[in-house]
Amino acid sequence: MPEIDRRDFLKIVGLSAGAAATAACREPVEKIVPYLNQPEEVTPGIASFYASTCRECPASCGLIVKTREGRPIKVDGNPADPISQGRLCVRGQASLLRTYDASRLAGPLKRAADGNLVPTTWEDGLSILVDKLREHSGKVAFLGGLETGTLDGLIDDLLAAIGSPNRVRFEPFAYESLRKANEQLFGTATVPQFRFERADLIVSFGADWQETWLSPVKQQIGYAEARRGGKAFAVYVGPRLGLSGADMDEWLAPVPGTEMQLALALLREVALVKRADLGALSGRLRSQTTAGAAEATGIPVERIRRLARRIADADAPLALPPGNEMQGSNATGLAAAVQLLNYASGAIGKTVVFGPDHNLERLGGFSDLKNLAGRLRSKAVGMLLVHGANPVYAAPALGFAEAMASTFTVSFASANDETTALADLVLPDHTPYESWGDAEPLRGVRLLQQPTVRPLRDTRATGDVLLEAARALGVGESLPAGSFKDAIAARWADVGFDQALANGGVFNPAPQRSVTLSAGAATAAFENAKLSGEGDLVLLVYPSLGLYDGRSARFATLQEVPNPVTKLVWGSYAELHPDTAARLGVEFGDVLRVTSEAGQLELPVVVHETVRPEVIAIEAGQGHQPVEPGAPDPDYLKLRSQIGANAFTLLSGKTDSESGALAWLSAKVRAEKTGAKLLMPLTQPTFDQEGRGIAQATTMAAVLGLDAGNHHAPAHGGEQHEPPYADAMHLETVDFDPADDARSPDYRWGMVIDLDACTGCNACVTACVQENNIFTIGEELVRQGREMHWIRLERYVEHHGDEIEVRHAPMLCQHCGSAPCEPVCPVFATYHNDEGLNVMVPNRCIGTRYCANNCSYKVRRFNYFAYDRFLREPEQLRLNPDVTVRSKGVMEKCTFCVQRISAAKDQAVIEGRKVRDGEVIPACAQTCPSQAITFGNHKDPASRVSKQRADGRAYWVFQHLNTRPAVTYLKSIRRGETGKA
Amino acid sequence: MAAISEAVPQTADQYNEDILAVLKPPSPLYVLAVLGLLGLVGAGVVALAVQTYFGMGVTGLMHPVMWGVYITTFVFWVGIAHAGTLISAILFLFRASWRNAINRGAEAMTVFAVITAGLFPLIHLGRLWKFYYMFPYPNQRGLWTNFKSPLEWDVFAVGTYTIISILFFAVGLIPDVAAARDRVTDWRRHLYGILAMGWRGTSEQWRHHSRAVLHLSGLATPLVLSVHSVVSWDFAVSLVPGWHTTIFAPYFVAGAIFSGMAMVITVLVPVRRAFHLESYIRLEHFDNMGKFIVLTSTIVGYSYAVEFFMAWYSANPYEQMSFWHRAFGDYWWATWIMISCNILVPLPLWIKRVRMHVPTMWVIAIFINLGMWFERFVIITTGLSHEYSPAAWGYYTPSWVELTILAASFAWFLMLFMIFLRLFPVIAIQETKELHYHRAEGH
Repeated sequence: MPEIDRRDFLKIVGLSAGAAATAACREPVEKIVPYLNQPEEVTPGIASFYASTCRECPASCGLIVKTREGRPIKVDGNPADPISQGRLCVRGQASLLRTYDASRLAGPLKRAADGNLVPTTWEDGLSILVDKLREHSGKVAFLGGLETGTLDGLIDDLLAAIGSPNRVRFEPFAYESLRKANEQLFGTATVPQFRFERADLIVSFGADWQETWLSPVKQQIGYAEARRGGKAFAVYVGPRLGLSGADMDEWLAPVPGTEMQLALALLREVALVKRADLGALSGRLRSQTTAGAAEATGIPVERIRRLARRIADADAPLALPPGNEMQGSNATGLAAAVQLLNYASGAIGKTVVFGPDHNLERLGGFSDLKNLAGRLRSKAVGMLLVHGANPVYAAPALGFAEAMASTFTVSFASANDETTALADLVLPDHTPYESWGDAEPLRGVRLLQQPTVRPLRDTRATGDVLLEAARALGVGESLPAGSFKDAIAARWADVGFDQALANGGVFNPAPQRSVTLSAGAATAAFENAKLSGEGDLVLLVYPSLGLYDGRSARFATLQEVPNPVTKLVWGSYAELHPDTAARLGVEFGDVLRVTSEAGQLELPVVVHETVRPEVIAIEAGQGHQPVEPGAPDPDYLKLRSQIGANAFTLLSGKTDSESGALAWLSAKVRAEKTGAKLLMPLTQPTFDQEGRGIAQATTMAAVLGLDAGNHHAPAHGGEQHEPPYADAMHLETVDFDPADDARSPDYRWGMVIDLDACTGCNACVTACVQENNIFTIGEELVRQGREMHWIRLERYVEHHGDEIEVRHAPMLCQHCGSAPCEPVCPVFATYHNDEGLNVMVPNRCIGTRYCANNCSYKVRRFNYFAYDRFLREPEQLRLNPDVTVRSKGVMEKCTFCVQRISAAKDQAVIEGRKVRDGEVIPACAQTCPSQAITFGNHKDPASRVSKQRADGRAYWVFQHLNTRPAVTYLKSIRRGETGKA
Repeated sequence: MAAISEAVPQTADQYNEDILAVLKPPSPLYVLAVLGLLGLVGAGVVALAVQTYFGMGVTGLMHPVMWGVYITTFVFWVGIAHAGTLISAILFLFRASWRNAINRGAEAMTVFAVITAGLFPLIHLGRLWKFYYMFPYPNQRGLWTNFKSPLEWDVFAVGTYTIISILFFAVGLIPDVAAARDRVTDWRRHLYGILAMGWRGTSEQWRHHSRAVLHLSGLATPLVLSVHSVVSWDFAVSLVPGWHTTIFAPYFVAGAIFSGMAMVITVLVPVRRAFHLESYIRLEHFDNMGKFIVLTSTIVGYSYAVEFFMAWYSANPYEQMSFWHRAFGDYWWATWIMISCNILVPLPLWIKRVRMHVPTMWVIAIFINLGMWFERFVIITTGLSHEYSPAAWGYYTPSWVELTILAASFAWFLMLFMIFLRLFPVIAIQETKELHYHRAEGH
């Protein structure tokens, strides 16, 4: 062997080092730079929490914002707030995206000579604003959404100071008819609180109390409380069984438009039984026979009678006035009928409570918007300021786009929308997480909103802009001094601003007050809703769970949360009953041309049996122009030109004559097959669980142990017993103790999900997405079956004769004690840890995908692309630094929020103790308004999960596979005589 | 019968002349064919590059069908690799002398098939560049591999099989490359020189050589059974309905021999024609291979029937629905291609005249190749697409990337085989000579 001399040695070393260095040339090195001057209150790696307010809808839930290194990464409900009570809905969980929206406005814009909106400076923008305000003094109108805090007064003050008291507070969901009905019946034009938690019978007349109606989070919490332990029977009345109705026990589907007759028949029967004094109204009810109602509505007499009897027998019944989807030409009358039913049944003051009212009295509505459009056309208004409203989208029938054309319009929107695109000057507001604010959603419940991140774009708080403009106009002295924040602080000074800021607000709900019926004042006609237009289908536009009225449509995360009924994402669909679809000769995915008096849309068909055959149902909120949601489709970083279609364009602008509310349920439409067929982004291919016992149910009798030895005598009205799934399938099951599945002496983590509480609202899905950096992948990839959600709501429909029962089961990694995924991984990328967790290590994964194939629950998700490249500046700022951002080619799945387990264990170690029960709360459990999810330690026999696991309702999905799942499900309870109808 | 009138080489030298005719310069047509195949392989490389750069999303794989064309093709090529060893090793041990004419071709096919097969577990990885995580060696990651995983068993099963089949091929080649070495003068002389390992044809060397072949045959024989059994456990060990069954090992081995024999015929028929080897690869060979096909086709058909029977007899609703779905669900077409090609098409082979009719045999063999690819496709996709949770059922359609790589794998295999044809004697000279002398002595 030749000798190696020093020179050769050095050459070889140099070459090897060079080769090694070259081989390492991949991604550019990013340096982690420590703070030069560390800001106070910021400790790298330690989260800070701030109380604030959610501004996604008028419900204004109190929030706790979790920030890391100066940027908010997660929001949850504020436990001190009587509205959110520590919980949030699907939209609240996604609300951070408004701040981290890549396509929000970067700074002020003005209309250039060539007609385009071009960037400008704030100085320029403000001077234009001031000039125009001076020019149009006295003819300025301010169109805004619902403001219930300091900004509301500030706007009024400013308008008064410049002599233009034209103020329109417009929300598409304004409850005008309910307010009108209350005014007529009880002399108070307010919206009372519907106290679900006190009710033992809940009857919803088309109110989507879980999606958008009034205060969904608070109502869902109350509903869960009322129903816990099998209490409170619930009935849904309406032509379509949406999310809110799906969890209720009985479904009465009157022929669309005849809801009034059903309500009156119920009212008449209940009033008779309860001997309620309806005064002058009694006479008007005389002709409303149950038989007549049965004939008109298509609901059998005995079912109407049974419901009437239920209402009359209930201690605390609660009837919910119609939501938007059932708001027709008779809206005020129908609301009045339902409120009278509440009165007759004794619910007023018990479950329907005036005081604290929803702070909606000053909210205008569709009629105010209509007025404004008229005044714009007649040039009575010369300048329009728009903040928090999008009339061009929400009210296409009013022709706002054309009415605004000759008016100088200023938009304060933080992101582009239909109205802003037509504005002449855009002065973008901060997003709620960047700005100060306050709200009073219920009288006496006042919440503060504080900035948790420095504004990411060149935006200014509208409050400050208005103050500055007022000072420039020389009317500043009639407005608060200092900045907008100073104005808020001044307004809160009497209750202690700093303390309120720390708590999130001041919660002194106004006291309950009693109301008396002035029956003679009820002038609204009790008639059926008028449906107009050609065609044989009734158009049912329903508000969207994820998109509200469309204001949340730009959040890709919410676009990708499946519709709770159809399980479709990213679009608009026409929902038809199977019989109707067969009659039209269409099936799933066929494109239908829907023509109303007002417009025409082409929509793909979805067929499901939870709509009435006369109805074609379309979700509101889609079809924005321009759209800029931050998800690619179908190629990398390519943005879509349109998502779905705007269902409002099918409404001709007919109103309820009493209240002026837009009649949503007013159009008959014609539907024709176009011949086109689309591939649909469907996340669940079938709603039949094939008797596999995934979402199980039991009966009230079984829970109470009443039916022992009485299997053949249907003492409970022919009630069907749930088949014991595994037995029926001849599959053996073995009992097991999850505590055996962990080597650690202290911990075996597990979860219990109460399906009786779970309503399928998807809040857990968005909470999980936010907490665990789950990427949104876009419609095309969902269509290809690559969705990434770690938790999904499986929806199953059970048929009992003609009756339909909808069940939901959240499906997530079961952290099996004997997990099928673990032994098949060749590289230990997934393994069982000492605490019983089924751990997934993305960095070890080489992507054989065998684990996903072998997972019986199909909860593993694969990174088919480098989804982190889908992120657009500044979306990366929302990522949770405690959770790995997965690269392409690796598997991922639910971790039981292992980062939260670690944090709790660290704290426990510091304090020299074990983790306490309830100390670790995964994101899904934390946000669940129904409190259906419990997480804890099975090694601790006193933990809540251990106790709940011993519940008679407990079962394990696919238990016969002997996977020993750590997720225990509690069967939902079928109440009443025939279960869901 | 046709066999009787077939010409038989008269002298030993004629064997060398005929068989080593491959050493003459190739025709332009040959060069063109090889270049065409190379082009197709190049297309596959481009497809793989696209997949590696963008991610597995460019395939049609989805939730819940996370395995598709790649694993199908892997199992297919592993199966193909079985006939070679069966012919060379097992038939050698059973002294089935007719094998001598076809064993070289079959062995080469084995080597190339197993090399092709071995690529697919890598191609299917989400992170191809981390493939070495699968190998157990002391590493800075501080991680060992999971020997419980059937995929880890595959690493060893396929690895062992590759080594043994290459050894077997190379040892059998020694006397023939020595003969070839003595006839050429160009660069090939060096290649043959190395591969011949100093072969001089002494009786001592012959004795050692025949012992080596015997021992290697002994080693290779269990592998024929074990490799495909292990591959079948990739599926049988899992919980997936339609995969989780004990019949898989014998079923897969029979299927492997079935498809391997079909591939031998598919490849040898054109070779026989092109190189005028009709007097070496004789109708008797086709007759015998046909019998093998009939036997294994019957076993495979029986396995299909047993699978369906067991699904019904088990009373397991998941199993039952999976098989109902297999026959009448979304993938009915694939299942019926499988059944037609693997059970119905080989039925005429019960008749000797069909077995002796080369063009018919060739057509049937091609159908069997197709059918056996679909067999694996059916098992993998129908099983995965219809598992326990109805909320997670799905339908998988392969993408252009997968189909390109599938086509490239055939091109790659054929290209290697064509290069082999021009480089090495496709028929084992010394073994056919033995046959000649035996025949001359009246055996």
